[in-house]
Amino acid sequence: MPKLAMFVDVTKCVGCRACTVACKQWNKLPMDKTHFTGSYQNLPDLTPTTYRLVTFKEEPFGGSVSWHLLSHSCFHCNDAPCVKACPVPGAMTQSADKGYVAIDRKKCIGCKYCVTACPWGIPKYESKSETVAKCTFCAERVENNLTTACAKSCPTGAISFGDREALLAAAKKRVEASKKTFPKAQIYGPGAYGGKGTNVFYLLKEEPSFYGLPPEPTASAALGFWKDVLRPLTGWGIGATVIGALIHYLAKGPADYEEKGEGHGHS
Amino acid sequence: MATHEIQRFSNSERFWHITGAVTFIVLAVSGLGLYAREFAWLTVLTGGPYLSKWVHFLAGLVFALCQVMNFVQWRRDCSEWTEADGDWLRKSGGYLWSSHADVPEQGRFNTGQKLMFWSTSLESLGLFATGIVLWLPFAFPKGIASLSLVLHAFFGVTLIMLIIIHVYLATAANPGTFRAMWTGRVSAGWARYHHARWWKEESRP
Ligand code: HEM
Ligand code: SF4
Ligand code: SF4
Repeated sequence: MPKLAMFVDVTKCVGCRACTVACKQWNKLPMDKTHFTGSYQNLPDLTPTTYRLVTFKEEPFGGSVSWHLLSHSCFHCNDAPCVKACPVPGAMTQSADKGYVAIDRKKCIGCKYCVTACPWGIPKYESKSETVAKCTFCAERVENNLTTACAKSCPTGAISFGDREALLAAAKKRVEASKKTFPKAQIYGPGAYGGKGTNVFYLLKEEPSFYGLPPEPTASAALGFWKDVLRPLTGWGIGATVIGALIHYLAKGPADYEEKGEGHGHS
Repeated sequence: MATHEIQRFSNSERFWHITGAVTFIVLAVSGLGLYAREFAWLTVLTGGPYLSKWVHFLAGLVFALCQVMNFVQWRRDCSEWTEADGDWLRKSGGYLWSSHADVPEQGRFNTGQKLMFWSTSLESLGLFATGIVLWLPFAFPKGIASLSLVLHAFFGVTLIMLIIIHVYLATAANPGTFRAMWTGRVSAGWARYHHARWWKEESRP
């Protein structure tokens, strides 16, 4: 099975939010309470019950305004930091063949390690259930050869779903074509993590930082030291300490203060 | 029997040390279980991953209190440092090279115990500080939260290794020591052998 991916072309997005509605519907998520903040954007950030959100960034444009839209969710990273950080078997997992990152909330204990590990802070903690929630890549649909709900619902084709290699090639073509209108157009995602990349990637019209995205997403060095250095050494370290004590006992034996002949400990 | 026994630890010293020791074992088991997936099986001992999260948190608060009390009650005895301590270290306290007979006479705690005191106290402080960050990660900058994750694991693993050494020295390696912690009393022979300087001070009328 080839790796699956989603490609979000922001130049095609019209901000209709069909994707966010389809996401709510498929995942049976309730509506969040919104507050009017002077923007068309529904919520300031993802929530435990909103896995996908379209951000609206306004810029003056002639006498009117121009919108910079970004329909975003989990990036489904290769070698995902959240999976690396998760201590519970089966809670946050990566599909070995298809590449997406799924969460089983029945197993999640709400330790929030994944939230700290994710470069974008995508998993959201819900205190009521003491679990985190995020985009599931519509695993039940995808495993049954359906597209993700968001891609299915997008009327302009801004979200496409399919084979990762094919989508990467399509993205490369699109970025060249878009550069005429948007000189800063670039692909965001495949270069993340020093090239390991994400399985959801974007054609952006502007620099990533313009959308509030980290330009070079990486797993933190602390996570690497914890999981790649300390973790494999732990069993050996503790085992060596126990064996060291055992060897010491066999070689040196217990201290025998009574042999010194001074004072009787017992009577 | 009583004539040859002397008091080594007060009731309060015993209480805080024993409570600390029990909570530490709970913390070590649940902590390893929550640390990496290959140790997750350990969480069956503390009620599964979810309950272990709470057990670890609550036991951590109790342990922190015990360590504060241990610090308060032992810091003075563990702060004295003389040339004899350097000599003790050069002779590895008679534990690795040199023999016990060549090791200088020790006060209430020997050099190794004093080092154990300071390293366990500092590591406990580090564990408490980083543990609070792990419990409330959103109250801190992200860099602090990810640093705390790795430091908490590092302090935890190294403290477990230190305590394995500590327990070995306090039991199998030195018969007659464990009851100091449990009953508060030791034999006069033990005191003279291990802590001659302290024994002389204690037995002065
Ligand atoms: C888990 C089982 C433990 C056992 C069986 C144990 C045993 C003992 C014993 C017998 C003593 C008295 C030594 C003496 O009279 O000279 C002692 C002292 C001490 N214990 Fe423990 N202990 C345990 C856990 C801990 C833990 C978890 C800590 C702190 C993290 C700790 C810190 C100390 C310190 C600082 C002293 C005084 C100085 C020293 O002996 O190093 N112990 N322990
Ligand atoms: S974007 Fe965050 S939550 Fe999604 S796979 Fe990557 S690290 Fe995990
Ligand atoms: S919060 Fe849940 S999914 Fe995230 S690391 Fe902890 S157990 Fe895993």
